Amino acid sequence: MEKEFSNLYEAKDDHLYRRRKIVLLIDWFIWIVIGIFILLGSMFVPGFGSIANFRNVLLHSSILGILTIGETLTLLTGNFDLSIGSVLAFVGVVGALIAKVGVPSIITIIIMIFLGAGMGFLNGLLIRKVKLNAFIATLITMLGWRRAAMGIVEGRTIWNLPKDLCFLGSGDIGGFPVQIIIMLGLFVFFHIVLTQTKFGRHIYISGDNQQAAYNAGIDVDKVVILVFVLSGTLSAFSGLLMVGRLDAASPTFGSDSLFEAMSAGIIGGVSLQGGVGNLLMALGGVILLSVISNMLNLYGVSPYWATTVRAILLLIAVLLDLLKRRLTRYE
Amino acid sequence: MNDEENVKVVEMIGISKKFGEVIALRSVDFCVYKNEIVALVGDNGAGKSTLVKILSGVFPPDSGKIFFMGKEVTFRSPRDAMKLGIRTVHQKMEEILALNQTVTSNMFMGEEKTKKWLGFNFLDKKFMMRETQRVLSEMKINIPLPQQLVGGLSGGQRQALAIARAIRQNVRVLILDEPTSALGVRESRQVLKLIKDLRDSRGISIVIISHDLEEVFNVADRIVVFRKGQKVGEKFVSSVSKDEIVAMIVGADIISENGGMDVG
Amino acid sequence: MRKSYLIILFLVALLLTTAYAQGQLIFGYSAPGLGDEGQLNIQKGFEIGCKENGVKSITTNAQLDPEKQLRDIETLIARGVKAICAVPVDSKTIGRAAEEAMKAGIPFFTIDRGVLEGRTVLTVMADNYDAAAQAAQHLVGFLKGKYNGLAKGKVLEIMGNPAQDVAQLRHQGFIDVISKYSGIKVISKAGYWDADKAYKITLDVLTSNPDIDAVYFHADMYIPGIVEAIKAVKGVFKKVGEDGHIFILGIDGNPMALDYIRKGYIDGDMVQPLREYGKFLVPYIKAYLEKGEEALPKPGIIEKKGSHYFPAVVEETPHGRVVKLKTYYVDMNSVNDPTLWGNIPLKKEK
Ligand SMILES: Nc1ncnc2c1ncn2[C@@H]1O[C@H](COP(=O)(O)OP(=O)(O)O)[C@@H](O)[C@H]1O
Ligand SMILES: [Mg+2]
Repeated sequence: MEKEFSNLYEAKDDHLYRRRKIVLLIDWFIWIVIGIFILLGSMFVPGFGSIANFRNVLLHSSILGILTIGETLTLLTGNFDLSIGSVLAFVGVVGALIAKVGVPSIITIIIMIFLGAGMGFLNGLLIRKVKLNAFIATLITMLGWRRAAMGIVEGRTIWNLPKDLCFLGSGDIGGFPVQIIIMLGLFVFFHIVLTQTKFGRHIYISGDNQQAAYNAGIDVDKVVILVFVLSGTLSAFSGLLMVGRLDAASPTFGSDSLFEAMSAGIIGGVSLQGGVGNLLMALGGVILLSVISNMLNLYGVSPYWATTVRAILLLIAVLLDLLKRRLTRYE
Repeated sequence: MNDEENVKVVEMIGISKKFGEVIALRSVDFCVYKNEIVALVGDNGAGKSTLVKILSGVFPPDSGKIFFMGKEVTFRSPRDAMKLGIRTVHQKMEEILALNQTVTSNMFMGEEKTKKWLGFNFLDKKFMMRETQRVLSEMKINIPLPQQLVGGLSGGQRQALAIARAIRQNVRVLILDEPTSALGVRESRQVLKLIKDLRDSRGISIVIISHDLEEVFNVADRIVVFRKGQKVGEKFVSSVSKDEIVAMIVGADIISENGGMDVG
Repeated sequence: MRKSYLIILFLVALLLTTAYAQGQLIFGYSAPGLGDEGQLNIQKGFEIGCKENGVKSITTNAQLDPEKQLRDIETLIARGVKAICAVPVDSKTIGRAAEEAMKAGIPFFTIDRGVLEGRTVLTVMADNYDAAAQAAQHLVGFLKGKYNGLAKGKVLEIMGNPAQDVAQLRHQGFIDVISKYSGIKVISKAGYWDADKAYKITLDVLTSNPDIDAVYFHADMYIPGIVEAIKAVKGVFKKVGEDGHIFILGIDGNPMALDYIRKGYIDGDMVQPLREYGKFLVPYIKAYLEKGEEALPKPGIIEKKGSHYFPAVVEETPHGRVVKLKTYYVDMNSVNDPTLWGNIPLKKEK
């Protein structure tokens, strides 16, 4: 992004230049809001300003962040994935059951990841090959996998899992939680994929204009299916972290994840219409939601405000997206 | 046209296509010779765009065969046609440009340049930016910023960009579906000149669809007329008059020898 | 979707006709959803109760959708069951279903949760208020033990969904006891029955209040989150009896909670009589069908020797008669009691 704006100052067209400045501001709006929240929080919320609490905010972000990466990828292709929370739960439960039987953790982890990839692949096939729309396809899998998870364990929680299986979700390296390292690492990795690779370009183009992408020789089916595979894989990974974090697995895990991850992406500025947004914006959405939920835990306001605040932020984000579209259009 | 140029680059035989109840094409034969400019004319809905979409691999025909340099080919996607050097500027800009992406991104859509780094392929953004600037300025297209979003361009700029992309590299058959519809008089003339130059300098074949007969007679070697999904005429420009073409387009039965029909 | 409903309807019909052929009594059971362990056990308890009394039961699953529950109950009415027992998804909308059933001459009962609109013949549930009050009493005891007889300290309460009456009762019963001791401060946060939310709440509150003495939870599903968050904040987890242990206790009595007690992670749990509800209710339904009103338990106290869940309180409410079974406190000493439902695997009782 920054690279492409570096030539901004060479723009001869003054009008164009001013507009691009506003668009740039909108793109970074989320980080400005975070700055304001952190400032206000440090001033008025007791216990917010400490380093230990900052670590907590990042812990809040880890699983949400990883899910949001997957959701953002699907949003960028002009689709969305409703099944992320259910995949998380299903993979978590299956992984925990396998681990309980005594399968070595490394194998359990591999099985979980592949399971998630397969579930994402199924979403991709339903959308691109069976030609269901993303809403119907992932609604079916969302309901299906959640039910299946409940059915397998009959609603029970599985607890007391092998230590090494829980390492990714609850361990730390030199005092730094592994789950945060993983989340930040995945953000960097996928940011590079999106901005610096052909596949990343094709995600944007396919999401922006599927027909144009196809007519230009891009294999849209492949791009979208692969994105859903990634989303499933990332959901599985989140399941792995959740199971490790809580040292337990329950089919109710991740019930709120979908709403949170989608909000995070959209609040960050990722467009529901595809082709617009990036992972730094989405990360902003994740951090902001985490800051808010952390503040609410520290501050004695009614929990209902959390939903209201989130709704307002969503509204602002959608309006800004509209504004941005208008500013970048020829009139 | 002399003999050695009389090579059929593309030959389509018995092409039919239905959309639900609508018959868009009925057993159409069509060919493109080497180094020629052939114009497709006909009323709206005659099936011209459908024919060129089949030729560019957008969708397959219901029946019929396509030959490229004498060999039968089947296109499973536009990519297959592009590989043979068949490049198309479709009629509707919304079928070829991604409005929320940059000019550069559109210019290299589907054919992004990469370079190896640590064994991985990364986008060569610098190259693509420079190349875009070069192509645009070479074609005298006025787009100030290659990193500008295409949505911010005017209709004419978009059409020019689409043409620039199509001819940027590796083209043997260039298909232009109403390429001048959004252009002003001066720009249209520029495009027509460009087309002729391309044919002369690079020796490619060009299929152009247009409603402007003036334009067609000015640039084309041969004219193919479509009516209601059928090919109803095929003439060399040198041996036909505008009025005759008009009559074929609208389907008038009698064509007066001295061009006395008053149509259009 | 439609198709699968039809198939299910058809199967239900098939089941019913065979049951009728045998002249068996059939009760309908409308579950709110069978996804969680609690509901599964309540449903099994009802099934067992029916079997023991020679009654056939048909179960529907509303999948947490109040509208679907209405349709489920309409289906049960149409199938001609002799009585309907439901666990309401929503204590208000269920009123409509109760009304329809009564109109069709089918007596309507609920277990686990009451109704806030309309009437039931009889409701059997746990005394959530009492459970919370008992938990609070135990907690006060712990704090006194820690502070040489002084009732003081800081307690984190992780609530359920504060919009639901279960959570309200489990909060109120707790607060009403604790508020008698001015030295005890309570921080209440809503966890919305979500394990990960419990983790985050514990994480945040414990970080900003390192002096937290105890955690009181509304549901067992919070336990792993609480334990792991304490580990994450403190670096180590001090077990029951160790110096620096944070007291943890709450309500439910799942097998998982019993295991956590056994291993010394948490101090105690108020066990709900989940499998008792049905076993207790079914005989009353049968008797009611034969003798009417007079067969119902009268307002007052029901004694039953040898059961943890009695004496039960019977009350007449504007929404019908309600039996509140007692909950039972389990700690390290009583955790291996073989009569606890949490110690009896579901499969074995079949
Ligand atoms: N994708 C499509 N779906 C349905 N009908 C189509 C489609 N494309 C073209 N048609 C129909 O096929 C006929 C031929 O259209 P077209 O090839 O676009 O004509 P032309 O380009 O000569 O104006 C028209 O009747 C048009 O409505
Ligand atoms: Mg056309």
